[in-house]
Amino acid sequence: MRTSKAAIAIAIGAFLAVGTVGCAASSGGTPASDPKAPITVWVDAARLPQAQAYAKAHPDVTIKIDVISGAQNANTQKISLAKKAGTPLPDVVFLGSPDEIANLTANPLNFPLALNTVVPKKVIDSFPQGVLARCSYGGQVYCLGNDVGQTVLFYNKPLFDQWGYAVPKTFAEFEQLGAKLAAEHPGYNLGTVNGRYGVDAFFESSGCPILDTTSDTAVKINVSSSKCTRVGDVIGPMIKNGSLSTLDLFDKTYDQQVAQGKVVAMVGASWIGDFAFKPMTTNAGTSFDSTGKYAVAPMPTWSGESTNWSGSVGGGIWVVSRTTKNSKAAVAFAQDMTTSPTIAKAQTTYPAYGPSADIWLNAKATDPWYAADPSSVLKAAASKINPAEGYTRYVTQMLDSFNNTVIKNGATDMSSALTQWGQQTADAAKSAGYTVSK
Amino acid sequence: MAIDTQVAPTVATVAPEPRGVARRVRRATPAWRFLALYLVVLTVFGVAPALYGLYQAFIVTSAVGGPTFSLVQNFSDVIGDYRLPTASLHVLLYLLLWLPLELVIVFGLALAIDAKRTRFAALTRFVAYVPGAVTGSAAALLWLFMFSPAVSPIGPILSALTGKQTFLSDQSLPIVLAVMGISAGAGGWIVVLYGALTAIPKEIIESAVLDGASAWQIARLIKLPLIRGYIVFILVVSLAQGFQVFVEPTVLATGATGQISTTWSINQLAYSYATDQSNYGRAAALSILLLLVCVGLAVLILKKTNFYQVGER
Repeated sequence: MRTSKAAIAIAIGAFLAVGTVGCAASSGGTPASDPKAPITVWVDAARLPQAQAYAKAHPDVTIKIDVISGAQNANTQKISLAKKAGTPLPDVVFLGSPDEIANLTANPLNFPLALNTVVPKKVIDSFPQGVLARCSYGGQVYCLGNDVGQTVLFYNKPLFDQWGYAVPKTFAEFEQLGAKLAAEHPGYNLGTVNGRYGVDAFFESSGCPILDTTSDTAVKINVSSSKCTRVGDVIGPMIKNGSLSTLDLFDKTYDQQVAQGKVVAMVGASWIGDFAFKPMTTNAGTSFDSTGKYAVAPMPTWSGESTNWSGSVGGGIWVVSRTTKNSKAAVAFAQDMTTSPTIAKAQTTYPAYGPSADIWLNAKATDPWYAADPSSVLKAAASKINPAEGYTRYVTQMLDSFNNTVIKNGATDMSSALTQWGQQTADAAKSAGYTVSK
Repeated sequence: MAIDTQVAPTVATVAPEPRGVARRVRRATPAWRFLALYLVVLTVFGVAPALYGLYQAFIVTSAVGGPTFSLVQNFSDVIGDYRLPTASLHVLLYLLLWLPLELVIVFGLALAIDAKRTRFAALTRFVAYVPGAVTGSAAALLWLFMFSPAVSPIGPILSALTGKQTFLSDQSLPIVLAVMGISAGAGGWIVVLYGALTAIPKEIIESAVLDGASAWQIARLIKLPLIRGYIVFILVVSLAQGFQVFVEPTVLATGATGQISTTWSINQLAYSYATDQSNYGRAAALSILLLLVCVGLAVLILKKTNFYQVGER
């Protein structure tokens, strides 16, 4: 039939047309600096005002601001599609889910510009080591930290005093406290270990090699290392006796426990006070007012360590495109977003840049929500983020697997749960194009 | 029109009479005009993306170096993926729970409504249909509340059943999805089957009654064979829908954070390739494999049941 041949011809034509567009995606090159070229920046809603203020203060540069979602991989998808369609890429991107940088640096995106070559060394060095190490591959730094979620020990001070509990200094003491709490006050807990809260606060602070990137295509995974098993030895019994919850921090059921004041302590990110405890306990109908209750203490130390390392949960980063036509303006914008003292004052979470953090802490020191001034503890923890972990492209799979193994079966058989977790994570890493070694 | 002139000679070989050809062309022209807009939309949004997807399935994205072409690489990577067996098992369990249950409920209720055509029957039909108005992501959100012990009206029952603080998990999801699927889908199919049942000539039923057939015999030996075609249709459409389950587990996972894997179903795995890893090749390869399974099963069912056979079956 001629008609169907014609239809096929049209279809093939359309197919080829789409195919060629797909292949026409631009390739990377050395950063160009045309001072007249406009720049496009992608920011989330929270950072829109500061970007607008910057644009207003710099009328010599044309800055186009696009508001994007901070959801996991939202930017990767957008950049990936833009690249496929051959449409212009943004010059600066804010990543609310910093793991995305691992997708951006790899094939087929190859998006970010190495910033250590264009940002003064003094600025780079003013970020805590653990923050920029995560987005550094092969000696190149690909991001500037916006904020950081260093973990510390939040504890309910009046309750600790009332029950005569001492703040644990080591994780052995933390586990003993869990056993005591479970026996004396069932229904109360010392926080949650689900998903990233468990992995980042416990396994990452211990330096367990699970996201240990050696380059953007090579990673070390070894869950039989004592740095992983010592974590299992602590959280296994605590999950079993109920002193650690296996619910997600933002699960509705856990939310209620926080609102009822059942959370006696938690190893958690610097932001859980402002973004979890505070909103969860100020809703109408909650029986517990958290104001003046929680204090922060330094991270407990893992057995065999001399430093009480922190983990890091979340924390946004700024990334500059290597295809930018005006690298000078783009880098200046990213640098200002992370280092400006004005922005530091307005920042809602702990700023990554050292001098900005000091400004922020000045205000936090007198926050009446905390039972005691948290500034010195937060500052110390930021400089002790365990550098063993990096951003990877398999983090979602790793967390899925963690919940399906360690969280689900850890109470009954931690050692085989850990083995399974390591195996599945290694599979995920290989699937994402990494070479896996022990 | 170019297409019209092309049609003419082809038709001519079938029907040599010139006047007849002219008439046929005249008849076909409005049909093509009528179809033209749809064909454009179909090509741009249906055929072209599908062909592009097929092309993508052979483009391999490697960690180092540029993209390469391979006929099998993406397919073998996808089949060897450690998540595929688990995801397939999840979907299979869901289908095994949902499909038979839905068919039994749909056929049973349609029969019951048809047996006594009272005002109550009409109400039942309407009530069964109503949940179907809430579908997809909205239904998932609704059921998310139903299955979250902390906020659910049946929360205490859920907690008592599982003894846990959460009900939603990778393992309980097939049950949850089956309940969701039936509540959202059954009503529509009941209306369809009821329509099919009312189309059965009264004489047949009457003569069966005169011959002394019981209600059960009438349902099993007369009504069921006569509306078999509809049931096969429901089965084929539901199978394809079920294999591609995506929205429900995705939305439920956002509420039950950390309880449901992001690659619970096969389609979610394909989505994860594209969005988590920018690996469109593997996403396309898995989608094609899924398509092959769905088409294969549909063809098998249609062949086995002689769906397209004209006349007596």
